[in-house]
Amino acid sequence: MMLSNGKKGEQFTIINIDADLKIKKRLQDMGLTQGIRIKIMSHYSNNAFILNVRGSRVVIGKDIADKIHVEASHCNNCSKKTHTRVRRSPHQIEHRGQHGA
Amino acid sequence: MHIKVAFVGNPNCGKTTLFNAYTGAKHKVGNWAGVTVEKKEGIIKHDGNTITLVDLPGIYSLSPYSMEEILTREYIMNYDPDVVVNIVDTSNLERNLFLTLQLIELGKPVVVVLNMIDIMENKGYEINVERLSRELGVPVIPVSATKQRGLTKLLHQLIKTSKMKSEYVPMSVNYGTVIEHKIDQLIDAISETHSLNENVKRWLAIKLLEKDSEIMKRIKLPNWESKNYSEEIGKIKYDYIACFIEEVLQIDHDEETFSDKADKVITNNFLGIPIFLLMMMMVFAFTFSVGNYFAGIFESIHYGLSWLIRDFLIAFNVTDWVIALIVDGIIGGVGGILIFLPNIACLFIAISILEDSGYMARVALLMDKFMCKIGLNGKAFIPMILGFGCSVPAIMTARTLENENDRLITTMITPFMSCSAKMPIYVLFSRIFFPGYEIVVAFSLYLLGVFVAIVVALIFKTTLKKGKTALIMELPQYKMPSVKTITIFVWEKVKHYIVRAGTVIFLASVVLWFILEFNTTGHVDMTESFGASIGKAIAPIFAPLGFGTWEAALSLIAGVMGKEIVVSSMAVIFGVTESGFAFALKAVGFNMISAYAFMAFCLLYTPCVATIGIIKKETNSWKWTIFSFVYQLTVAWFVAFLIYQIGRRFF
Repeated sequence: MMLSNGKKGEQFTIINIDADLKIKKRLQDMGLTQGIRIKIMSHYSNNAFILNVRGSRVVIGKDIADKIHVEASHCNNCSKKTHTRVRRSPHQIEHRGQHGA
Repeated sequence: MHIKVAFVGNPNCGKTTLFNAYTGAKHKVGNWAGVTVEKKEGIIKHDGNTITLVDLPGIYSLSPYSMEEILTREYIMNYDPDVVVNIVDTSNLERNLFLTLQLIELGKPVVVVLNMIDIMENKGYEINVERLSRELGVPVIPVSATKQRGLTKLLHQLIKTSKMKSEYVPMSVNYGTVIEHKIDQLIDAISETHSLNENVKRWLAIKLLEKDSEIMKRIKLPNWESKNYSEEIGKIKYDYIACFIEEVLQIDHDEETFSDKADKVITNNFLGIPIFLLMMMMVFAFTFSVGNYFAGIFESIHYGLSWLIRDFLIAFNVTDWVIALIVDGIIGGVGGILIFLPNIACLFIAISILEDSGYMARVALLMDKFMCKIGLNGKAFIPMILGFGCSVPAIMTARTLENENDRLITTMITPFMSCSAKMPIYVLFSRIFFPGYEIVVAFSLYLLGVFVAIVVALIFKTTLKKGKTALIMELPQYKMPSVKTITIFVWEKVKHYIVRAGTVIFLASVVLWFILEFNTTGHVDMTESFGASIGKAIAPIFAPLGFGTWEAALSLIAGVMGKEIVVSSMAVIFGVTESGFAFALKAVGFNMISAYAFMAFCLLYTPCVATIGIIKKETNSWKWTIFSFVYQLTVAWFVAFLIYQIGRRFF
């Protein structure tokens, strides 16, 4: 689905960003990269989305949200109490492998 | 020893606060050569070392997409600072470290500064500084710029790092077999043609894989083809950070922060706009109530001073025309402008509070929907608000817009916003012709400016046939505006205004006085002077607008130098005193309608010389510069024409 169809409070994982290089780069600078988990904090006037990206708040317009493919985050079911540490461990092993050398 | 230090960091990381904590107001503000990016430099002494601090613009990354980013990396590569200080917002560590990794990759010694550490500690967070330092391979110093904590420790570290500059080996991120192989190949290829430092070669290779346009122009490698790896390279950097971030700082991203709670109200679908309008009304109420109170005091001083000096000069039997030059020309012109200093200071205080608190970014969000309707995005609204202060920095801010056409349109409409230099004109005229309704009249002109800007943007939207624009923006956390930051900001503006009054306005007043006293035959009556002839030649153009007199025409021409010069010119033409003004303006045929038309014309006509200069620099096109000059003049003429012609049929 597209991020623009998301609702307030929902969490997603970015699958792909379908925009031109410059926009993609800007999104990357703001922390929006493939595979990252984001949360829609609010949706202002059906026009702009306030996102929680890596702990910072980023606003993107609807036309940008239209270009971001996402899937509902599996972590949605995680309760708040069992947060990050448990959830992140599989990812961590994966990245360590990548940079291990 | 002499140490050169560059300050680099994300916008809103507290970089300016830290810079100010070291240098106070004693820094030099200028522009980088050739570009209109502000350059701040300060010198401090510590332990017998001279440390030059250079504050580079706030950036998110080192990509070649904005002037600020290119400038920052050019500075680091070419000017060879001894230490690059990367200021990091601790509460937003993960994203901020993305820039840190890029800076480390540049190969110059980096010191990371964890700013706002006190806020995090107060919230009960523990930060593993040693671990972060080990992962990044650079020293990490926690500081609090506002609480003045860790500042000396940072200075010691800067001196230590700069001494070990030659031994510095940067940590490098491993990009995986495929990319690392390509990097090695590229390093070899670069080595064949360029003799460079190893660190630099790796950086260049990475940039080439990211297809960085600036680097591709500089390093030409024939027979080399590759796909664009910028997405992968960026992602791996973030992954690298994600590996250790949890162990450096355990932070629950899902926790609702104070800013989130505040935003539930401030950016609420229904309350957002009313709160914004209320804020703007408070800005103007503050500017005019507090400002006018002090302006009144300034005015009495000015009035008293001009009589005192006149009496003093008469007592010394100074020739009449010299008295007139000093009292009418210099004190009238320059003093007439300085009276408005309190209003202007108040306006800048209000604007800087909006900016420093983090509210301005919310305004962009609130106005986005509306701005989309006129073909721009919410971010374009920020230059427009800053335009209430001064068009020059406002137009420079338009650079943060991603889309070329957006930037152009914003640059074209920003001068319609009523800048602080136009305020003296409204105050002068509305006091005389609309006594008791000064604020209403001034406010209506501010709205008129916004209205015209919107209409013009709509016309541009249809004629330029531009594509969609993209809003991507960080919402910084709200913070208490720093008194020091605001004081320094407002003082810079006030100083600029005083310097202008002492130079440009002084000169304009004296020149004007001369051309009003003389013509080719020598000293004559004002109505036959050289200045009057110029005014008379142009005046007929303004006749349909209700102010076709040579006095008005001449002051409007002078006003192109700076809008406040309209007032100082009138002071020179009509004499100093307010009662004199009222009488003189009515005598040359001004009435309520023509006064309003005149104010509207002043609001909209040709931007001042400084603004024209910045438009030329930013658009880099004479065509657009001349266009903005001509079309604003045309718009102003038609609006004033309509106001006068319609108005006089009703009143």
